[in-house]
Amino acid sequence: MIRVLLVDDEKDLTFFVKKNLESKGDYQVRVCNDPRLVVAEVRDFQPHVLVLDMMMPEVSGEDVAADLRESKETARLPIVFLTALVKEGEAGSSGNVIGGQFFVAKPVKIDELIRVIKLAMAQSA
Amino acid sequence: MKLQRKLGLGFLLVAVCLGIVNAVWIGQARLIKGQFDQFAEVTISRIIALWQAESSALRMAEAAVGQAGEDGAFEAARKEHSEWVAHYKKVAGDAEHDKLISAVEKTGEAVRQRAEDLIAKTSDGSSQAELDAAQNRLFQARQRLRLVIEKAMRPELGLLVRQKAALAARVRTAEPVSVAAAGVVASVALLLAAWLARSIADPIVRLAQDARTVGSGNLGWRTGVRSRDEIGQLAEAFNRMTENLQRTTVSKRFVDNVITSMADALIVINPEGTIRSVNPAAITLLGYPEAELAGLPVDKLFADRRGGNNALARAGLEAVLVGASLRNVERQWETKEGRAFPVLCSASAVLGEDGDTQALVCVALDITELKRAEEALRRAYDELKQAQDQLVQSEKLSALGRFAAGIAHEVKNPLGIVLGGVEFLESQLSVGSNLQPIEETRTSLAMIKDAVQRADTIVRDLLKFARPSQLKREPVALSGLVQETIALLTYGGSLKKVQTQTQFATGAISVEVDKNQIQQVLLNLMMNAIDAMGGAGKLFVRTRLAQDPGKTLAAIEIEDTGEGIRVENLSRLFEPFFTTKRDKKGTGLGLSISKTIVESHGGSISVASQVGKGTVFTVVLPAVEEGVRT
Ligand SMILES: Nc1ncnc2c1ncn2[C@@H]1O[C@H](COP(=O)(O)OP(=O)(O)OP(=O)(O)O)[C@@H](O)[C@H]1O
Ligand SMILES: [Mg+2]
Repeated sequence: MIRVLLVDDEKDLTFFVKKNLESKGDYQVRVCNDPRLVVAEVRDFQPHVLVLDMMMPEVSGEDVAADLRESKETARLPIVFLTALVKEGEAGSSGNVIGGQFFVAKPVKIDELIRVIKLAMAQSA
Repeated sequence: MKLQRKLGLGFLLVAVCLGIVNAVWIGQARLIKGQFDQFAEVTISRIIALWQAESSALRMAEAAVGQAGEDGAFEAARKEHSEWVAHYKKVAGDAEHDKLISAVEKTGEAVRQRAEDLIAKTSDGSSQAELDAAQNRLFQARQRLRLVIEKAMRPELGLLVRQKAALAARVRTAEPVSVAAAGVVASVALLLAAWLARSIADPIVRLAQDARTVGSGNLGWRTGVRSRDEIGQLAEAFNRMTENLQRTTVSKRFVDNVITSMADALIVINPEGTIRSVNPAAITLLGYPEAELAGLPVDKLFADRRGGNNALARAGLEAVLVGASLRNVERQWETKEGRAFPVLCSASAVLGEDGDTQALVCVALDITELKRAEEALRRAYDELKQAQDQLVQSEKLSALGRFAAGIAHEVKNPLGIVLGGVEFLESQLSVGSNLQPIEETRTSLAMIKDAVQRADTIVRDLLKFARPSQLKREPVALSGLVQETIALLTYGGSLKKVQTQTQFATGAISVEVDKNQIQQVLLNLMMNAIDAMGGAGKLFVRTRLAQDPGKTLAAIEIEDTGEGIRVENLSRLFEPFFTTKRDKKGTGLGLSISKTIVESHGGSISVASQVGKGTVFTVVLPAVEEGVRT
């Protein structure tokens, strides 16, 4: 089972993403709607991959990622960003990597998300 | 003693001396005159009287002898004789002469009797013998008279000789007395002159000497002349003057030092435009030897020479000559080698006591470095300005970008829900299981519907930005509008735990607005306030008139006791999509739309907030003047 920590302030969105991912059978998903709690959740849940919304109030996805990279235990945790700022095609054509970061364009298609999760995990392995 | 009094006293002394000498002289003259009177009037007239008495007696006798009685000669001589005897009696009328007088009278009488007797004898024809006898007796009487007069005359003559000797002696003694008096006066005058000289001339001469000493440069010299008169005052004034001179001369030396050591170049220019003198800084700056600078036309120093027919005009200093002064004017100077450099130049005229220009003083500060620094600074400023412009540009871009990102995020989030929901439902269908709880499907569909509605709201709200609907302005009473809005919120149940408090300006305020739009603004602000208080607290709504030059403004204040706004969020508050209520489905468009509406009414909206205490939003709208409507 692959442990996925899903971080987005939009509850309805995380609800469906969790449902859809878990329905694939290989994933165990924990939802976190408050970006400020991510570091604690990572320690607690020990995810294999982090799916992180870029645009959240108070703390952005980038801030969360920076926090994680600062700590040794979490520095190598693969992160897949969710963003509304790139078009699906754009994210795909760039191999879902921009500046060394993995992206999935919003609105999230579940197969796309799984593909990028695998990519990210493969790279960090 | 005052000089005047001194002089007065001197002259008085001389006058008194002269008076004394005069008195001595007059006394001497009186004495001499008295002796002379004695001599002339008494002695001499006695002698003359005796002499005349004798001669008239002789003539009497002769007349009698010669029978001259007929023609009156005898009678005349007799009369004369008695008169002279009477005169002698008068002038010699004292005890000493009594015997002589009576002797002269008696003998004179005898001559007269015998003369008459002879005349009588002659006329009645007496004999010759008788006549001769009578004549003889007459001669004898005449002889006796002669002897008597001679006797009387002898002491008178002796007296005369004595008196003459006495007079001569008197005159002889008068001479040294007068000479002595004159000598005394002369010496007194001499002493006086010496004293006056000592007390007037001497100090003046000494003062003159002292003045020469001071004049030769010995400024420490003081005069020793002391007295209580005007000379003393003069001496004191002299010393004071010397002291002042020393003081000012010392400070002149100080000023010279200052000028010599000052960093600014200083040039003294003659009124006709040649350089009179310069300080070392000027020499260093200009690279001329000092001797070469003196007498040089001043325009030689100016690289930015102007036209003109004299050096001052060409140097641009002509106006200074007629009283203007240059203050920190930027000019170009030129070194001897011809290198130009910028200076900050100040110049003014040095006026003599009578007000005419004696010289021009020009001070110049080399500002080459300053100019260089200024240039560098200007360049740096330009660069900074450019960078800032770029920054503003990118900031604008980022604001626009943030807006676009906001729209993308806001729209794509509900879309994501829709997509996720649909995919979920699809997966349910593909599994083909009818055993899946119908409940989950229903909530999923509800969530999808919700998300679609949200996307719709956002798009509608966005349309308000794109096409702000035509304002339908009408006069609205502000207090009524506020009350209506609060009522709306009350019906909606938002104010259950909120205590509202309204305070309206005395006198109704009327505004001409699109009522629906302004109501929406008030609703937005009040709902934000309620959100900030977590649904419970105090909501104050106040209206008041505000005065702005030229127009009356209506202000609405909406104050809450909520959580307040963090400082870093204040600047982004009115940005579209800025929200801290994402979890409560806030769009972040409320304030930005409110701002757009208020501004389209010609008003403004502002905020003041304190974290933990509360927030006040103030909406200002143009009020309708005099428009009191309900
Ligand atoms: N009275 C207030 N007290 C504290 N914060 C406020 C207040 N009014 C506005 N804010 C802050 O400003 C943000 C933007 O407000 P705005 O009305 O534009 O959007 P929203 O209220 O978040 O969303 P929406 O109005 O669409 O529900 C709010 O999320 C909140 O953080
Ligand atoms: Mg709001």
